[in-house]
Amino acid sequence: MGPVLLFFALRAGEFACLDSMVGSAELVRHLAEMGFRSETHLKMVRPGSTCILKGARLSVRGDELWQALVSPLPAARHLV
Amino acid sequence: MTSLAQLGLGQSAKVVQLSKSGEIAQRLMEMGVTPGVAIRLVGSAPLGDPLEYELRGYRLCMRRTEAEQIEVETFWMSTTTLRSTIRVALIGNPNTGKSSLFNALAGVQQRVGNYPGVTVEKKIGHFRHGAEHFEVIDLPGTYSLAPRSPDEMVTVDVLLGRRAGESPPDIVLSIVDAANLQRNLYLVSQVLSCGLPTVVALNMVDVAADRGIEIDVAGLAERLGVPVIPIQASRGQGLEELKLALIASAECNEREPTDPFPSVFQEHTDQLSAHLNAEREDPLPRYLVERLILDGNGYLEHQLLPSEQAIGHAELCVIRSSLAESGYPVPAVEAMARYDWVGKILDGVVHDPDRKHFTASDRIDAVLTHKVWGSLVLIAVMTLLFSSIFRFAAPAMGLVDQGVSWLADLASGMIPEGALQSLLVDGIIGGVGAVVIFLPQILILFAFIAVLEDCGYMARAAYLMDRVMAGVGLNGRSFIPLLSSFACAVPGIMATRVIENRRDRLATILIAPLMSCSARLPVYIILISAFVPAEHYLGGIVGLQGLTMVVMYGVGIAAAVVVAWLLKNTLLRSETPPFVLELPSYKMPSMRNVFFRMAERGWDFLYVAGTLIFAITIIVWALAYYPRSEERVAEALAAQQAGLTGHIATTEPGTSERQAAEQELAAFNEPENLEYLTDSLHQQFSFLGRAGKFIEPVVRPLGWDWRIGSAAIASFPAREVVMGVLGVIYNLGGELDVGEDSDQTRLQSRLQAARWDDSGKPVYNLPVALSLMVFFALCAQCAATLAVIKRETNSWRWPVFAFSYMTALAYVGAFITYQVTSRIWL
Repeated sequence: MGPVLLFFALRAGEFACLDSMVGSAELVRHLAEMGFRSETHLKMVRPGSTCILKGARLSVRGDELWQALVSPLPAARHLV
Repeated sequence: MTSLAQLGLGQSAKVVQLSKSGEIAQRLMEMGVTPGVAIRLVGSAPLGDPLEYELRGYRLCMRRTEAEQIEVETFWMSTTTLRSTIRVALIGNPNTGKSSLFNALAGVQQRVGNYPGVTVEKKIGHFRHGAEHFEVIDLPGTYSLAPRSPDEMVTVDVLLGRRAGESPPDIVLSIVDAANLQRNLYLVSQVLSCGLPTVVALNMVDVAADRGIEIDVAGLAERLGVPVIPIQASRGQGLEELKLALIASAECNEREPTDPFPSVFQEHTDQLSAHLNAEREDPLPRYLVERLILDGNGYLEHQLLPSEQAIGHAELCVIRSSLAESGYPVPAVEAMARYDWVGKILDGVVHDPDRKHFTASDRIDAVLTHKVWGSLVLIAVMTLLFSSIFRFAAPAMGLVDQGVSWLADLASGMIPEGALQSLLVDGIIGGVGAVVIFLPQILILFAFIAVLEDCGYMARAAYLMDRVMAGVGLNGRSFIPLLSSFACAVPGIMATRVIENRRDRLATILIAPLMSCSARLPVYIILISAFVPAEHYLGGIVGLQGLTMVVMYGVGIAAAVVVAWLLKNTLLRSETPPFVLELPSYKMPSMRNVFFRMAERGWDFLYVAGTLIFAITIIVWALAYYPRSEERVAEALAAQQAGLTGHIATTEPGTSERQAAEQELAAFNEPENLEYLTDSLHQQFSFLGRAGKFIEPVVRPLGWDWRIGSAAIASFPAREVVMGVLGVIYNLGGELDVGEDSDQTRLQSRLQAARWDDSGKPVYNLPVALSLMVFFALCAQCAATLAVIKRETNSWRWPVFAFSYMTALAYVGAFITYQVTSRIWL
């Protein structure tokens, strides 16, 4: 497991494992219902204020996710 | 054990085994009569042999002796004659093919309405299978049964039979995406917690197979404890099996609810349930007690415990603290427990290859969500959509218009002139025409939206536009409804159903009428070409008239941005909802879905909005027609004629002045002029004309006289009538065609010649034209739009609000425009 960093810091094509979500309880629950929860493996497809990520196959507006912490995964381990 | 031959007509059973081997058994197995398959007796020959069965979506005949060799287990032992309708609630995540399944099951036997008090669509379909009659309730697509608003509460209330006069459904049909089972089973686990008989429709099994996902369907059904039927809803495959499973499940009574929560949570639920239900006549279902504990925003507490809120809240706080101390914080405990449960269900039953392929959807997305290429494609798609509503609908709208004119001419020829003829021609036929004329635009827009949604592009368009729309507090899904409103706000507002968040949807509905629709265009064209100088700048590239037109569109857009921002920060203020949008895999759109979507929305508009628009049109006709006084009009005509004759008498014969006066009298006595003048006088003396004179002091600060005031009032039901009204007021007749150059020129010259009654100065000049255009750009002069707002919000509050704020905005806008520009130019 690599260092934990903010979700925002991921670049296009990078893989990560969602470590934790800190924010409004409702927001965290809504994202969890959509499949965005701890240990989900993600790939940042398109970074930006509204980004696309694969794994949960979602488009998410970034400013609501600034408190999502992820652990980068090496490309060879991409499970997404 | 029962044999297949013992089934009654319409009775269903599951094949257990074929008791004899041999060629016939082998042949039956090849034809699908295998252990586990559902089979139903649908008929027999006149002498009782052979027998006809239905299985695997086809019918098979066999002799009674062969049927006797097949052992079956019956689903139910009575024939269907005593059974009433089986009520099925269809539920699923968005993008799982729920609409496809609903359309495939119900076909044309469906109707749409609204649940009272909320904006949720109530869609009910009917279908038969053999002797069984089904009623299927299509619930809104959702990722979770965790209500946070009245709209979200509808689904839970329907499932738990808590809506007034409605019992719980007999079965819940839960559709899931086979290629995305983990997330889809989260909702299934909540459905199973409600304890209702459930059937799971495993849709898109072909897509899952293409991705290398292997599913042990029998194993999955066993672990879930409910039937799981693989289907391909878009192709209608697996539906017979599904219907048989529904019949079989309808026989079960309530099943034991699935409870994935840790024991400490269950204990708290039991205690709370016992406490809350101790004195209740109508006990709270266990699922709602669980939800009370998990309720994050207090909505359920407020709804379910109105009288015991303080005590209930205190108790809930204690429970939540206790759960947090035990390592199960609320609300995270739900996601943890349910996804753990899902993980156990899928373990060993679904084999999902670790290394995912770069799918076709990924390849398409590489282009369609690209900053440059994606934006270009979006512009191309939107241009096509916009021009389709604007232009391709024109021929059909022309046909409707011609049909209405033909009908009006026919009625005019058959009924003598008078109130009845006017009511029929101007009121009823005109009213019907005013409704039907929108239909081509609505059908074209919804065909486009259905195709874009069905193929998966709509979510990408929302992603691309989200950044722009977020600037005014909306999200990407508001873009298409707002763009469509430039052609016509009616289909634009109807298209807001793609917006999930209620407050965003309301804000979009309320600003959509500010987009300059095609009905405003004739007003802009006539006034701009009459009063804006045809000056050009930058070597002729930029023209002042074109620039003014752009400014008029800009006024609407700017006002919409400001109003949206204000709404989102006042009336519709809420915590910014997360923009989390699923990007479904691309697929070919289903023509059946497109057809049903068009038909549903077309009918919805004609039936619901149409009746209201029709009523308003009749009222306005009556205001413009009554009080009819032929004598008063004849007196006014005679007075004008006497004035002209008197003028002739006072001039010297043979002078040019005398000649001019004689020509004026001859022109006055032309039959066509007398006819137009009669119409004009009738309008002046009508309630509408009087209202125009009455409000003159109010509209004078806008630079308007009573005639413009009358035209503005008359055009409140439909702004496109303003030029016709001005035509009547200025004695050009009501049949003025502003599309014709000659008619445009005639109207423009009359407007330029119009004078104030008191000062004799020209009424129209550039500031008045600009003030009038700004008023039309901002005012809610469209009964159809207001009727559709009522339809979509299911309340009179919002159309009244839209009408009030837009009228006030239009008045203030026109006032500022006139006061500022008149100081510059006059």
